[in-house]
Amino acid sequence: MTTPFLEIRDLSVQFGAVTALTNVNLVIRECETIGLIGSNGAGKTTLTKCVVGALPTEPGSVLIDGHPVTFSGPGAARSAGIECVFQTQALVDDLSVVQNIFLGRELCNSLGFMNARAMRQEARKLFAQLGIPEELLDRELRYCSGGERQIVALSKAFYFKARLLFLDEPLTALSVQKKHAVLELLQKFKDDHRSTIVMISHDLSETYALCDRFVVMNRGSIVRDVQKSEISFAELEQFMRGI
Amino acid sequence: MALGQNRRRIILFLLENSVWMLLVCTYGLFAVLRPESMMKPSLIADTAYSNVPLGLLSLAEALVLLSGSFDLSIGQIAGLSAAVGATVAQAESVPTWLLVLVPPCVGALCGLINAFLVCGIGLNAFLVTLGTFLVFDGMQLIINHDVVIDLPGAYTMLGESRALSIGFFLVCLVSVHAIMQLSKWGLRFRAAGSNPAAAFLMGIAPRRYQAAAFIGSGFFAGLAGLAFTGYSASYSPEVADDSVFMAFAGAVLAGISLTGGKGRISNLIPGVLLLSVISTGLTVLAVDPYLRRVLFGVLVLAAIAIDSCKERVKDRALVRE
Repeated sequence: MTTPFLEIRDLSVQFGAVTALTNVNLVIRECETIGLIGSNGAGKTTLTKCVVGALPTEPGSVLIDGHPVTFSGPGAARSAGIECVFQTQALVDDLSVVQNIFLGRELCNSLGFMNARAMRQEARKLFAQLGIPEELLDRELRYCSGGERQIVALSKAFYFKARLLFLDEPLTALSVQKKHAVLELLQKFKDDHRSTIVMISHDLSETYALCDRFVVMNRGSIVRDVQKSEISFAELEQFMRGI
Repeated sequence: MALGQNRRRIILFLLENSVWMLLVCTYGLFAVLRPESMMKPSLIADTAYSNVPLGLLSLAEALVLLSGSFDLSIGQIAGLSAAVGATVAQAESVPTWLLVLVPPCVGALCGLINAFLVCGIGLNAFLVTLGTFLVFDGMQLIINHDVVIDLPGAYTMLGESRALSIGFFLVCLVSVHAIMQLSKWGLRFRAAGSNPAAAFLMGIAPRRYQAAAFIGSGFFAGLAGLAFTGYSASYSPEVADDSVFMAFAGAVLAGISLTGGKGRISNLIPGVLLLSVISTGLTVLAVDPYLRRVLFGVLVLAAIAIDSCKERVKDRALVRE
């Protein structure tokens, strides 16, 4: 049996008197596409934040390729190939689309001065590859629509070839057309990079088509972990209604 | 589509450089009212020279505003730095090359204190710098509450020499502008000021950049203290008193946003010149000194209103339908 890419052991998180996660154990293998589903407040985002270094993981542990890791912050997690597209999209409105794509991983010379032309060229190539209009590149992010912002956030992960990509409610508040575009992009990402995707959602209908495994959370715990081949949409929906 | 993009580019250009237009219009207005005074060839150079200390203070405040914070104590940092510098300058044993380093180092140390309290402990910046305003003000008077006139030439050279003064300010401004606009640290600094939560999720430590802003601000406030001393060739306990409000006005007129992360350091040139032109214009119009204070207060309010309106105009012109 191959070593899992990511393993979470006995993870518990408390916010004051509120227990957000209780003894969560989860194994994620390479090239899986997992739907992490549950109602609001189930602990999905908290679990994600722990894995990507935005929250501490003690008590509990996270292992990458069998080795325990402690991320000092999201930057360290990104260096390990773990990216997250947060629901709030973690984008800076006052910067351009190109600047947002490269923020934190700028193309620079040895003195730290950015090569703006190279960054723009790389972004243009990326957008051409993904079928995204080039006119978006120089726009300040605040003037992009919700769907465009989501696409910018996804294209970051696409460019930096994340090994493990968490998507926190990626389709929320998008029009049908934009949802379709984002799902196409995700499928392309999955096919081109053989990356592992964890798609967090409270809406099963959005995730069922793309995912091949479902982890259901409720009140800070994992209550079901099942392969798509073992359960139908109707059965899974019924299970979620019952918890 | 091309016409729409060009229209947007023109609007963006005009909005980002609106302070230059405001400067030209204001100067033009005073020139029409008092041509004999305002049209002198040396006016711009004289105006620029006399406002280098204010320019350095505006740079200090702009750094903190860009980081998403606020510093009320920069005037008192300038005063304390000048007091320490003047005291040390009177000691004969100190090498002259070291003397000019004293005020910016003292300023940076004051900035470090602010950084520790705001970024390290997490106290409110407005309240912290209100407190350090009083502390630095008192310390200045303890260290030196008399006028000092016998200062070494090397110490006052920066402020006394017009060319050196203006040249030094421009070097500071261009350097900071280049770092902010062209370097990765500048990009991360602006991101941290604009959206600290998003910056953190991208692996950037917002508090570190904010701490650097306070220390850098203190450094430039210290330089302002040195420049004030050189300009008057003496140290006075009233140096830089009340200057925080003018520095704030200069930064906001330059388009440095009050919400953090937005604004170009290079626009401090027209911002500070605009303040200078207004001050000079009111002087040649012989406006009552007390009324001038009222007018400058109105100016600060107008600068805030313009900053707000500019964003709304930009949104209306650039939001996609």
